[in-house]
Amino acid sequence: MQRLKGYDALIEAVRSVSLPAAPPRTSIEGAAVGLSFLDTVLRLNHVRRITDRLTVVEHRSAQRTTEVDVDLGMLDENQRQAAMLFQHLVSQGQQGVTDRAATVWVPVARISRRSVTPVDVLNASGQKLPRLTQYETSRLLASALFHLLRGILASDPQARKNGTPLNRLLFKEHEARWLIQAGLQTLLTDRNHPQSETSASRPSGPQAKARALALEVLREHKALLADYRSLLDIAVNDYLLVVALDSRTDEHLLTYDAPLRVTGPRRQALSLPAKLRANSRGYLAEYQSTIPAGLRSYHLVVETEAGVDIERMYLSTDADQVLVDELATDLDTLADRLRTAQETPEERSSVRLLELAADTTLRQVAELLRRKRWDADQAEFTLDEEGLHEAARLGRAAVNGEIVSDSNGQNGRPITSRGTVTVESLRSAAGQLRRAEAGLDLALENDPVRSRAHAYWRRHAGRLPDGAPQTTVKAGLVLRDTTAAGPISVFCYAVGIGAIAYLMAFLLTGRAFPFDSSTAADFGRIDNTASVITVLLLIPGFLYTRLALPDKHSISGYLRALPRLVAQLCVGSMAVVAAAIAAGSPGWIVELLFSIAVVLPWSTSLVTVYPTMAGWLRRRQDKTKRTLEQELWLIGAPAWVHGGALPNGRRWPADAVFQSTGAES
Amino acid sequence: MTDDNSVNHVSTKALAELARAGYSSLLHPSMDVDFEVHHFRDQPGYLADILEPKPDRPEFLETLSSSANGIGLVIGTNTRGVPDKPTHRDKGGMQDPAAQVETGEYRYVFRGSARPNLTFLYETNRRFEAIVVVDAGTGPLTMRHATRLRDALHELSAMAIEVAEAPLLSVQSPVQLPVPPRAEFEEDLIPTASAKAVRFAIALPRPSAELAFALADRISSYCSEHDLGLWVRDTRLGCRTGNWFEIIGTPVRGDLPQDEEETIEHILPVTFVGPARVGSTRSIVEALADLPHAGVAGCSITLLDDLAFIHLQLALSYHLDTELVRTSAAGKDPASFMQEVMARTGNHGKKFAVRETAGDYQTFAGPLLDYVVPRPHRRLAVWLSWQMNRAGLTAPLGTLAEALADLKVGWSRNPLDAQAANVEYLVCRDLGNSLLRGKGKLSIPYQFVSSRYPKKSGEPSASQFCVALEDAWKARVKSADTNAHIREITISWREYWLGHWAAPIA
Repeated sequence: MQRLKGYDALIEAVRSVSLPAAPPRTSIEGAAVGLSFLDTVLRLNHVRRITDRLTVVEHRSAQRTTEVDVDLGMLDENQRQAAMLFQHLVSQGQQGVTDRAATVWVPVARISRRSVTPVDVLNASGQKLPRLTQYETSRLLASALFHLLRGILASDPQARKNGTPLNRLLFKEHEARWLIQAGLQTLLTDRNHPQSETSASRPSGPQAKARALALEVLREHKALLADYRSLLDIAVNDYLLVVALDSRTDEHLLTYDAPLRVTGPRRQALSLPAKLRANSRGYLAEYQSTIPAGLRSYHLVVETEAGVDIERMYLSTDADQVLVDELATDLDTLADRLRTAQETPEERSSVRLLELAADTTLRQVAELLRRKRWDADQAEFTLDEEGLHEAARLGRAAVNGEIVSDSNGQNGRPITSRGTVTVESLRSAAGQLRRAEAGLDLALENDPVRSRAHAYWRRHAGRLPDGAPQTTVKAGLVLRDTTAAGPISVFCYAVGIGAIAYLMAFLLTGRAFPFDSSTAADFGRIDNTASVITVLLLIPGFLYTRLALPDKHSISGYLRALPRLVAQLCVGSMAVVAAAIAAGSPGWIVELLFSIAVVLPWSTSLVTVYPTMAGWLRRRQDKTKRTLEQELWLIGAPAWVHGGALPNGRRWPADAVFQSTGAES
Repeated sequence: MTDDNSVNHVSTKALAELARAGYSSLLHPSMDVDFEVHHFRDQPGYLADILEPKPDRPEFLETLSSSANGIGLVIGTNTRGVPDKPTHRDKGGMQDPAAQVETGEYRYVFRGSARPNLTFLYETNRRFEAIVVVDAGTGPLTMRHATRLRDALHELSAMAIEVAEAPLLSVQSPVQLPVPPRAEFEEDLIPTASAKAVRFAIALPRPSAELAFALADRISSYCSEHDLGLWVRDTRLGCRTGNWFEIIGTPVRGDLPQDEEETIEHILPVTFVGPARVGSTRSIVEALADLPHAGVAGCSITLLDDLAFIHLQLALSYHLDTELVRTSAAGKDPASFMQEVMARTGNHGKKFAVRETAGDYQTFAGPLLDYVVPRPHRRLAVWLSWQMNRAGLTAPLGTLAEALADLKVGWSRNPLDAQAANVEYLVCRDLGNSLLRGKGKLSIPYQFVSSRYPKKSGEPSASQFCVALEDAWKARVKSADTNAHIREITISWREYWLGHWAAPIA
């Protein structure tokens, strides 16, 4: 079911709650604190760095601990006043206020209301910090959002015109105003929210007039309240994590366990290709999260269980996406404009404007590609500009000052007739930027230390993104099983089991090839069945226990699902033979089962070493060896990593995708 | 504006600004913003005078000051200290509290309050900026100039709403023309401190080349048609506020008054104040066009604390009854004010209609002052910028005055004094982090600078003077007993050399 947006939920609440006969209680000071908390949590100017520590525990299971470096000194005067004001509000009339004056309540994150996991915030010494309950925060926000709504509506010119619905609501028909107030309060403080609209019938009954007025004002001024609606959406769908900090120290390091959602394949027990793939390429995990748009610095640390190493890890964000969308659109606009200018000669002023706009856009393109190149250098590969060649060429022209004409200099001719910039090249560059996913950046951990890897991302200097509410972070990890009991030991086990079955058949029949039509009788006349059964069960069983196969829910277990299957088939085939002998089955059945017990382990043993052999062969043959760029592309890195041109084939599907629950920031 | 069903792309920063605006409004008992507007006969040092710490003087924080044509303006919001008298809504809950007016011979001070528009969220770094040049000559201002300026103002305010559907963030006239790059080597090319031109900034609701083209095309065709010069802000990477790109060459007219009607006799400073709204400037200027024989000699339009301050110097070629100005000076709505002016000029039946976007604005007018013809000597524009905490403007401007005195330049009570330094433009804002950032333009007689600091070793006189003033100001700040924490002081004769953080201030 699609959830109602905050504003629609408010309309639904106004439609549903009963009409108050007195103004609902709200606190002006509480409203001020609520608004300041919203301001602080959206800006997060006091958060210097966020570090996510991800521990991949087992298949489809991970824990995330978020570390937040808070610097109270970076709170501005208003935010600090509000943080202290709240402490005064809660301390009113209580003893020991002076002791508590050192406490400030500061929002440090937003947590989606979809998650019901309790969040404990710890300080650097591991002590739990007091935090506001969701009810307390919601009360503050309800007061805040009502007063804000009233302030916005009151500044509209309609507010002072006698007889307009807005004027009546604000100054004359108080019940309607109280109804909105009650609706907001109910919506924000209630445990649950409306998920769908009730029938939108016209209000009826004696109180219909006030309800109809409230609904009319909310509907008519929807455009005026565009920004307010976004703010309400945040208040309705997210909880603010507000903690008490000691104001005598500016620097605080807070940690809390943040919930994760997991998507990706649940079971692939019988899917041989998937097992082969996981054996061959490793376990591919993906982590997706969002960080505040204004955050400058982000760390991701990933740890895995013992015996599983991180072979490769990249971190990519969409911090440049807004810029790239703008650039691509601007390049198309420039192309249209250039074509018009070439077809119908324009005044010099128009050409000058075109040159300025082209130079502005192309210098930004050059800067963007410069960052991509340096990202690639850091990751130790060379950026193949084939897929971005036109964008790169135009960018170079802009950096070299070849766009703007200068009557005294070398660029005598205007842009329309010089040929450096053409309509086609502009369009081509726009397409290249879009196809190459140039809005995504890349930070690569090239040298992870066994089961621990970390990636560091820093927002580039320059303007902060204007349109993007939050930055999306994606990390891809390739995990490998490195324990000793790998596929080779299972290979040996399978070969051994086959050999035992063969040896037993040889001894029972006395023939080098014991499986032909003449040996069926021998298999039907086994004298010492108990001993044979003991040998067939005991030795394979003992060897199976020595294989030390990992827990099947673990990453190692997932990576070694195929060897496990082979080992189970081997021991199973021996058990079936033993059962047939114990049951005194006819000779041809025992012979058939013996032959299976020989052939099956030997044939499946080859499957266990296939990925190892295939990998070895690939490494031997340079032609099929994957480059770093190709591998990165396959595990989900941006397309520009591979020169913008997509290689044949599809990207590898992740074995597990861990997602933050929406709005942590 | 976002329509009902469209996806609302509001940045986190804009939402934070909305929450902050709501918070600030709740700190005031009536959710209004207090403001103070000074109109006065320009005298260098006026600003320093009113900033002198005295018990009955307010402390200015967010401030705009400008002076031109012999008329000065100071606007401040949420000034601290005065008035201490609690304001109350004596006209009912729906109206703004009555404004207080303090009148002197050459000086009116208005104190009032107005309800801010909390949803007025425009990213300060997304803007279209340009300078429209009416006349690059240094001759006196005539009614022809003033009419051109008024029409240009009308055009660009209409363009803001019709093309960009966005507000004018700031408009200033007169302004300094762009400094050519060769001025470093040929000091004669440094343009004088103020010229008959209008500099404006329009917010861009979405940063796109298409919208920038649409705005640029419209203003450029207007300028071509009316023979005006045009520079747009250089938007290329590495450029900042003060870097301009020439689109249409600068006209030099040297217009002189041909007859009596061409001569500007008086100037009536008028400031309209109200909630910042898209299209409010257009509403005011559009209605003004109906006033007979009234041009615009200068203007300062800005937004402070979500309030719009539209200050216009109405150039009149006739005398207006001073008594009328005094009686109509007290916060009436724009239509009533204009109607009264019209009535006194004999047009009793004329009805003025001001669109809804500015219909409820308060009008503060007067005193009627004589137009002061500028002296022909060239003045050097000295740009300055600084940063401080919210401790009031007394400390930075007091120390600046001391630094100027150290260099033998002082404020002078006489606006025509050839040795006087004058604050031609100054803006100080809190850009959202409780730090006040200020930027201003002083004008100093160029002759004084060149004789005191003759060009040597290739270093221009202007540079030597700016370096000396910057050092002197820093030294004065260091030795001053103040808690204002003034820092990041920069002084330069080129605006784009100012500290990088000064960029969004206009």
